Amino acid sequence: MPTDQLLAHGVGGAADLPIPASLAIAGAVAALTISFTVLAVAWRTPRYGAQRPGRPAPVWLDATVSSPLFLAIARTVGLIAFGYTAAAAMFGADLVINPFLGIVYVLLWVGIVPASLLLGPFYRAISPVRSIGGLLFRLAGGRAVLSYPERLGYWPAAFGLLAFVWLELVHPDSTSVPTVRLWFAGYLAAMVIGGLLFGDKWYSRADPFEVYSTLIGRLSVWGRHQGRLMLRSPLANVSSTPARPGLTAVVAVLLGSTAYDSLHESGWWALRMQTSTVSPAVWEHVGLIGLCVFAGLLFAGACMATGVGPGVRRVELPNRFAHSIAPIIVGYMVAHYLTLLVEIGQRTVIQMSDPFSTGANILGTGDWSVNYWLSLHPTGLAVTKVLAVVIGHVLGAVAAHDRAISLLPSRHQLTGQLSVLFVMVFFTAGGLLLLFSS
Amino acid sequence: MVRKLWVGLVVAAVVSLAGCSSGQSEDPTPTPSPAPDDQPAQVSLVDGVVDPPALRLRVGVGEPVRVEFTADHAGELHVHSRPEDIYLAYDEGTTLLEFIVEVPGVVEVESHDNDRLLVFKVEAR
Repeated sequence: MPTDQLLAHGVGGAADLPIPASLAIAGAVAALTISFTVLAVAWRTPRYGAQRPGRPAPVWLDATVSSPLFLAIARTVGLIAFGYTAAAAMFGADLVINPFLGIVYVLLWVGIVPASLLLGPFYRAISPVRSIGGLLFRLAGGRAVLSYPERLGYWPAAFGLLAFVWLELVHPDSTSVPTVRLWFAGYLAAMVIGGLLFGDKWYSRADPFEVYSTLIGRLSVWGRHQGRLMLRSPLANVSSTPARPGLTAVVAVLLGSTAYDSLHESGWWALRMQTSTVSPAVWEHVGLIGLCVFAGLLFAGACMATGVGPGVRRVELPNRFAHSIAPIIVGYMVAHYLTLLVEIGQRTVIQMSDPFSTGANILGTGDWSVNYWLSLHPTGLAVTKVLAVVIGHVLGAVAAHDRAISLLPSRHQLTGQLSVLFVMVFFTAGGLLLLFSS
Repeated sequence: MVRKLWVGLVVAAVVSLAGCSSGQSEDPTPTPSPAPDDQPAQVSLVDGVVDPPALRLRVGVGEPVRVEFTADHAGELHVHSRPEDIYLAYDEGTTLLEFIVEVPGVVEVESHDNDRLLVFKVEAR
């Protein structure tokens, strides 16, 4: 079997059917009407400030998950998963049946969303780079050489995320084991070296997977207040996302890359690629980077198109609103990657029994077969996707509304929200259009 | 305030759904083509150029996809279908290709001899 037979772009050569036009229009109209309803009738005093931390989680639960033993177990689980994956990456064959690609592109990259929604900052808990880097840090004396410049914020993570989506969606050898292995070697090196220089803070600002997971984890019900584990509304939780520099870039890369993934599967894109005299590689780079930059600039521009009161700087506004894009990202992710996660995810679990392509069945999953129930019910699937996009949009609009009334002087609240709302409707309608033309 | 928002949201959702459901009738399900006894679709791959470009064939799940494929070299096409991928060998000149897509979706058919060139897509529903 030729070695390149696999996972066409990113992963999985077969894609979902386009959603019906009626559903796409219904979704867009719902997003539009609901947005303006939020603007017109929602609360006028902020609800999601720090004064509403939620209610305390049961004491036994807090004691359990806050214990050093729990952390050690989570880290061990992470290290075992890392070791298993690294073994397949280093000693497995460069074949379609090597589980390495499915593990990183599906279980890690897509699975990080449901895992973080359910469990909170999940990658931070299991982070193998924190474990490895932390050990080396202690061996090297346990003191950070430099203090992390606050001005950098999440920018390193934004670049890390862009590097990952570039590998997945643009790199011509995105499905070759050596290429992906090299990328992850670079990731590990960057994390460990940064961790040695800057200490723990590096991981929470620069690790693309951790920053992504922690951002999505703020849409879970789990929060912390004065060291205590709290149960809180996901909207209140996401509003507590720290507005550090680069947060807008992080959400722009996540949004823009998902849009690009969808765009480059459309018939329109295929026609452009095959009839253009410009090399497809140029189109792909321009498409991916262009959409990320476009999403970021559009959102930043909309956030800044308002009057501000004393004590608030206009340039801070995009990062202070950026958390409201998180639910929209989750909606996009569900819409674009649900089938991939469920179906290629199953295939990956099956392949994980045979990491070295020797015919082994280590985990006992090797003789399972993939259940295509989801794809076999295209109408239900399409409705689920549109609902996910619309629900994500509504939560985003509500989060932006709450932030606007807490941040902007009252005479600018309406106009300040309008531009943000228009951009959100644009993102949602654009996402639905892409699902329709996939 | 919260209740007011919820009432507003429900009203907005109902209005938008009602507004839409009156407009469109059924899904624009394309008539499956080519039907089994229709002429096969024609695709050529000459000098690494696909003609017609970016063709999308619409078929029913389980119906045969028939393509009259003309190439200036012998090779193999890769159908990225589920549950199993399909490989179709072709000769120099014209070959009649026939295969069945079993799971609904958009399936890419690529030439791996031409750097994974997309040859056509099949939309099976």
